[in-house]
Amino acid sequence: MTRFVFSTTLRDLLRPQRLIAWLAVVGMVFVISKVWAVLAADLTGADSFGRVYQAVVLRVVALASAVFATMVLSQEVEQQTIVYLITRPVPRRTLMFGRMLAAAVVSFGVGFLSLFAAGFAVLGLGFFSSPSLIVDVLVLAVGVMAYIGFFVFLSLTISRSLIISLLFAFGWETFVPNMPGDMFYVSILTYLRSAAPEAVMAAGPSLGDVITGALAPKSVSAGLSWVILSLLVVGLWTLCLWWFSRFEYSPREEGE
Amino acid sequence: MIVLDSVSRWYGQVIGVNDITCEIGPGVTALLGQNGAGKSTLMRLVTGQLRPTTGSVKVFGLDPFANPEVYKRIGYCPDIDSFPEHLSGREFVYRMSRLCGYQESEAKKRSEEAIDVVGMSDRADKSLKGYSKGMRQRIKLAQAIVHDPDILLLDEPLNGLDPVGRRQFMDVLAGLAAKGKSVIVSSHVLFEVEKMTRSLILVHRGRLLASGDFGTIRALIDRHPHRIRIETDSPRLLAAHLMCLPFVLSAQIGLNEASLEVQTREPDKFYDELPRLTLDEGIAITGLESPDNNLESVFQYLVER
Repeated sequence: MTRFVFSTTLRDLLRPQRLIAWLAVVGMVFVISKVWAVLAADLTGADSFGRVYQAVVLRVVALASAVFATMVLSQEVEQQTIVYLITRPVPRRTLMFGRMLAAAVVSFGVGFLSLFAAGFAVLGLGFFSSPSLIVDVLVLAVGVMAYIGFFVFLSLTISRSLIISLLFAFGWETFVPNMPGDMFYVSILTYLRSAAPEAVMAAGPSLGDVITGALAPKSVSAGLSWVILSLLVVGLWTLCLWWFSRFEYSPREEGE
Repeated sequence: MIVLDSVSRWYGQVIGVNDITCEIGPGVTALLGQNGAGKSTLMRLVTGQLRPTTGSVKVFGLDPFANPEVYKRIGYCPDIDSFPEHLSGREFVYRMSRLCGYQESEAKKRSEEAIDVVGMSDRADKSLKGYSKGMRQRIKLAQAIVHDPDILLLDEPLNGLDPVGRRQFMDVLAGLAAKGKSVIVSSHVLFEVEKMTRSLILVHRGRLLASGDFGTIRALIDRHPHRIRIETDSPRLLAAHLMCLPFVLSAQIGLNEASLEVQTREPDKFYDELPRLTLDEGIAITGLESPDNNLESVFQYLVER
């Protein structure tokens, strides 16, 4: 049953209009990366790519995760079509897991294409022989899973969660890693940055450093980041499945 | 099949249903009430979308909330007019069938059968967004019956259907009831429901007003006498004789001097006595009707009480 829920959700998420919009986003990543590489000519190719990866690719992952996570449940509740799903003999956790998995796969697809677009724009064909490629892809995958878990949980607990999710993806995740003290610990991006091989160290208070979250000292080890990201994924996904099985998600009528 | 025991449901400060206790068995049962009376809340409680704030709901002896064992045996046709609009009617029903656990071929077979039952076979490949209200209602019914449930809950199913569609819809429901299924139909249009069943549950402002057979409920309403209109060419003579009967409360001659309206508290005795009296006195009766012996009147009386 999980497979059927997963495949139908995947088909819904990959409808042509949506696909075109996300391919346009990938195209924009390519253009932005190319411009970035030209403007940061004093940096090495690897440094340039590291910055683009953290400033653009990981943000696209957060954006895609926020949008697709909203489609897992929030959109069904708002359109009232949730009623057809929750009155079928399918355990709610199966329903939620299949849909979350589909959202994660699509978000990862967007992130993966963005990674290649950015890499090709900055490093050219040399990107494909980059030693960090596999780790970059793994970071993307874990990042997507963590973001999907978090954004789906938001959509389970608050209505109209897309706005809050986008604020988190672009507000919280931009400013919290730059904050002094220990605030950077409460950002998913911090751990993604730390787990990624392209470490971006503080270079100065430029806009690029703010966007990449490079103003704060990077004090989380790669190993610890992987552990925390793994715990986040397992914890958030388990929480989402439990929450959806436990609480009501019935469209409410105006008259009641 | 369905047992509600002292069920109340609050939405924050607003009460949806208040202390409802009743049982629903096989056959067609009408859930009646005005808009906002709590019909949809009751439906959602029975279909396990909501939990009662107090009391308990049991379907086949099980708590229905998020319970797949219950969903295997109930079909639900919601009152909402929302669909995954990008799908065709056929694809939508097929998906619902697959979600019931059927493999591809069985799901296809069942969805075709359900679509055929609701008379949508020739239009099922069109996109749902292009469907009329009546077509959408039919497809909603198809997805509810696709797994041949023992209990079918239909929330305002006749909304938007044309007269022919209503007739067909009622025939489908009657067929399901004849197979021993339990069909629960909510509506605020009383005359439609009256054609389907005599078993009622009346709710008003979240409270259970009455439940049981329509005739029994009507008989219990002793505050409002039954009105019976008789068409006759001798209304005054008939009125004089009828007023001698102890259970006749009043008789009013019609303005056209060709009819008589009688009020009685015991309609059964009245109907027993009337043929004998008219035969003895040689009074011809050309028409007989009871204007308030319908659901609308019953509902009105109960609400006014």
